[in-house]
Amino acid sequence: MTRCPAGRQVIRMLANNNRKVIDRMAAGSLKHNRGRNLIIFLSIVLASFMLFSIFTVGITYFQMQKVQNIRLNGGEYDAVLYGITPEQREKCENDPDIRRAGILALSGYLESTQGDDTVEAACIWCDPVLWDEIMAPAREWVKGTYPQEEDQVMVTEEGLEKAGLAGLTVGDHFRAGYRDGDGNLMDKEFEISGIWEGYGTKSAFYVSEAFYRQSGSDISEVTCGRYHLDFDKKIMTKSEQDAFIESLDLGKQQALFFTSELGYSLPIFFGLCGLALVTCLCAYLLIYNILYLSVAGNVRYYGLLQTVGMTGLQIRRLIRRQMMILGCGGILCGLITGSLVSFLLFPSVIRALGIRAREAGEIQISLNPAVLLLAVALTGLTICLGSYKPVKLAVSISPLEAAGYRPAQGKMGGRKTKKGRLLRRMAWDQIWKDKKKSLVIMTSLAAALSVFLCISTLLESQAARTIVTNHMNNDLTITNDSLRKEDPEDHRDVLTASFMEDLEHLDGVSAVYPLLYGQITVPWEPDFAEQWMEEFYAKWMMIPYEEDRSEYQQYPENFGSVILGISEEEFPYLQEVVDTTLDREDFLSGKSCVLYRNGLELTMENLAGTQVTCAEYGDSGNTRTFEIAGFTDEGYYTGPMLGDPPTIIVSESVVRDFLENPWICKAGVRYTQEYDEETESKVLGLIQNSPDGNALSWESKLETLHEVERAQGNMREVGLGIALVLAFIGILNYINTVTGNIQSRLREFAILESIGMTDRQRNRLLVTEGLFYAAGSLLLTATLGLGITYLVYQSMNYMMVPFKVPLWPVVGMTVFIVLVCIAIPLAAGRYMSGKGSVMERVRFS
Amino acid sequence: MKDEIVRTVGLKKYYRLGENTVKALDGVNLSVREREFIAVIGKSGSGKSTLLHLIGGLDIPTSGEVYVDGKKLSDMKREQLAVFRRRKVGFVFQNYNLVPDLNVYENVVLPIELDGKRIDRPFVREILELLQIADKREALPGMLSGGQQQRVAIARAVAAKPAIILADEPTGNLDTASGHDVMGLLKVAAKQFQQTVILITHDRDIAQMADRIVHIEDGRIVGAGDPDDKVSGGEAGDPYAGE
Repeated sequence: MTRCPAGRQVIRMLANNNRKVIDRMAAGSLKHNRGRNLIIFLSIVLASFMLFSIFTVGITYFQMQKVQNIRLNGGEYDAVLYGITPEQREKCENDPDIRRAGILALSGYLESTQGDDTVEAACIWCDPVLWDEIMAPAREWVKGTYPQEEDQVMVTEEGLEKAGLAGLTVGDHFRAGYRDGDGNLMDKEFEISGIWEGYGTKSAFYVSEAFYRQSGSDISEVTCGRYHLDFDKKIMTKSEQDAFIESLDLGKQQALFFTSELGYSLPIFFGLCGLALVTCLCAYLLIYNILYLSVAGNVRYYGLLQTVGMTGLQIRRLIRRQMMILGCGGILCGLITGSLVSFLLFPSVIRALGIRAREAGEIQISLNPAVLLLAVALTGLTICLGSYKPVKLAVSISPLEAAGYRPAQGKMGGRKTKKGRLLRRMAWDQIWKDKKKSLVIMTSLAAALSVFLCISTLLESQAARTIVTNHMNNDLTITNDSLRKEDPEDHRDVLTASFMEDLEHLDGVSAVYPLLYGQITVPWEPDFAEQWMEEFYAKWMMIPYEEDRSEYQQYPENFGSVILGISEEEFPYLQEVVDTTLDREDFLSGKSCVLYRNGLELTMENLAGTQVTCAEYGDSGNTRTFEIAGFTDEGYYTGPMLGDPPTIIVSESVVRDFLENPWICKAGVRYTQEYDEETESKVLGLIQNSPDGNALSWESKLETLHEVERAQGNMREVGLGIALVLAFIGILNYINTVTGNIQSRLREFAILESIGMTDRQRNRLLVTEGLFYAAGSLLLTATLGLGITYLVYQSMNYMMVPFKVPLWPVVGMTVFIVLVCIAIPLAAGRYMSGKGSVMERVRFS
Repeated sequence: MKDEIVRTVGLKKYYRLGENTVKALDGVNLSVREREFIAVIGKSGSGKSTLLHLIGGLDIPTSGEVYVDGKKLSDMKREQLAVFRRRKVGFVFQNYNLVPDLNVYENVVLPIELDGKRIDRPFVREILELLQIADKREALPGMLSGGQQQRVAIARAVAAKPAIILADEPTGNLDTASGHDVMGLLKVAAKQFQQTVILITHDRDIAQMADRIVHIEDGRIVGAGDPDDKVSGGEAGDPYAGE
């Protein structure tokens, strides 16, 4: 006994060393309550397994997405700078945030070969950093070596085929006509030094540094130099990106584009954190539920312990010791199961993808220490948080209360008599009886449903078909390549009326949209023509506009351009790609037109009401004037050549009225059934059988689809796996809570049976309760879940695909959840209340 | 017998407790006529409650048969037994067995609602008033005293106007005056609705109010039937002993 400063006596209690007793009791309790503890143990195993699997599968998913992006971009880089000045190059090389920077130089264009006189293939030089490091992950195989000599090229088999050189291989020679960087037409014999296969610009002919040096091209020009930058950090805020662009001091013509992944890196990061959080929430709810039910069921036991003298602290310690034993064992088993699944299951999935680790990035499922630690920490935290309330309940209850404790009998007070059908009323009361538990069930199911909704929406948007559908409108676009020839003598009318007629009549072709084309001049005038040319020169030309203005004023025919005519049926699509609302009548009648923006910083805000006048090329007397109704950036509307003056888009009838016998430069083909391979082969057959077939090229949505699908691998399946695992957690939560709930109501059911409730009525009561849970979860998902899904989707939507909830997966999941909500209580009720006589159940429940 | 409503034949109920077998009922033969008011008395553990539960189809006999209104209970399936209970039997349990989430009124009308029948509201009101719980109609069982809960249990048993009322110590938690009131109510209700009452009690005064007293001991109906003190008993195999 000691005295405190105030003089009062203070009794110091000496701590009892009761650790051994508590350890023994904890072990004994674990042994005697095997069934109950097994459920807790399994829930911990499941939670740690799921957390581990979610993170491992998640990492795999995003690695796959990285592979997809590498494949779609043709290399592993984060930004591309157009035009490279020596200062900028030096800055980038010395920037510690930039891991590597590779140069690409556009050194000319192949125009013809011995096998095809309408070739369109770029001659590209890549420096060793770009070719050997940045582009390497996108390549599948390489034969031979990268060109060293001026006359050597590196190609793909596809590139050779497109250039009419199919069948050539490494060491073979071919002759080709090409334009160098100064626009001079050259003729040269090339040797194929290597052939590669993979992803990227496959039609290009890769040339040596020596070729670039003599080509007259200069990487400081935006038309030639591309600087591929790979940053160290993979998350950059918009302001960091802007600051970097600012630091490069770009010229007017220069531009720096971040790849979509880095551009949206921060929102994607937050989206990922959200998904991880929901996963943790699901695991927490699972453990919390089971622990709560377990402790609530054991309250009498804890009360008894208090009666015989155990303190609250000791009870707390006892429960914690039990949790510690169960937690350690559970987490260990969960991690082992997770690792086994990750090592045995995922590698086979990866192998099925056909991804070679060396060439396509390191996609190996490995025991990531961070994932391991995170899973252990989160499961441990979940056990701590989950056991906090139950422990509090066990400690706070008095011995007397504990002796008579029944979870369902604690309710006091009164309530109004309700109207309505008895069973529905009772089910409704049950939902509201323990609001917290009901909320936990609904939140858990809603969380699983929301994650499923979110992931399936994201997957749908990332699906190859969605990506392709949103970036191209026609199933096939056929182009007359002969119109690209500089010499008008070489131009041929290939897409003739009879060809178009044959095309339209092919089985499976639903529509053909011709794009008419005519050469025009846009005579100088002080308003729009002057403004356009000033902008054009500032953006794209190396010389100032002032040097060419007088020539343009006097000889506009030296500055040719094109007019394009679209069919009336194509108007809705044009409207989609124009940033202003077009007046259909004005456009079709020729009062207004649309201009291809060509990268210029022109908007309708400063050009409202402005007109553009054009004249037929070679007949300056034949002119037309249109009001400018809008701009488009759609590359489809560029015509065979892109002149300095604007490309004018009007209706087909206007072009026919303006020009005599205009030709078709492109034809958009739509199939009755999208992506129909049979129709596509018929159309391609028609092209190949056409006498001028080699002057036609095509861009196929089906081919692009195959390409994107190949790039994606099994990303979709893995993503769906994550969604299903989370849905599984939610359903397990529901099963746990519902079975626990029914367990605690067995006496009530027996009483109800004793006064005449039949099994069928009990089942109807349980089904109604299940339906209420399902309705609550679906309501939460449809409001909060959908809102969160939308936000997550928009933050990760770097493909700019419109938000659309995938109908059938969501309907399927909804039906599944409703069925689960009905079947689980039904099965549990039948199984649990099926034993013994009514009195036995009343007595022993 | 022409107006017989309950009959038990060689009714046995044995429980196993570890290695021992407890004979809760050991060959009980009992017959009850329609509209009869019977009191079953006996010591604690003599098998009174077990007999009542077996008659009500709440428990399954080890052997023997229970006939109610000419129907053998062992032939009924679980579903049929539940319907039988809500239509034919009104139970008053020793520990009330009220549904904790339903208020007094809802508990009382529960068997009627389960049967999908119309509630006779004036009758229910009358019962509640008679049992002095009309002012508690919106109270939940958790806020009532033991005596009040007992009254609610009686009201529930009577409200559906069943043919038989099985009451297990219905006055056990009531004071003497209230106990007599309840007995009065049971008698009045039984007479008015032509109900048969089988009542378990250990209170001789209460038992005196019955038409017949059955004495049970060690799972058997015993004692010589003394018409003066209205205690009846009989040997196994003689269902109408003591009459």
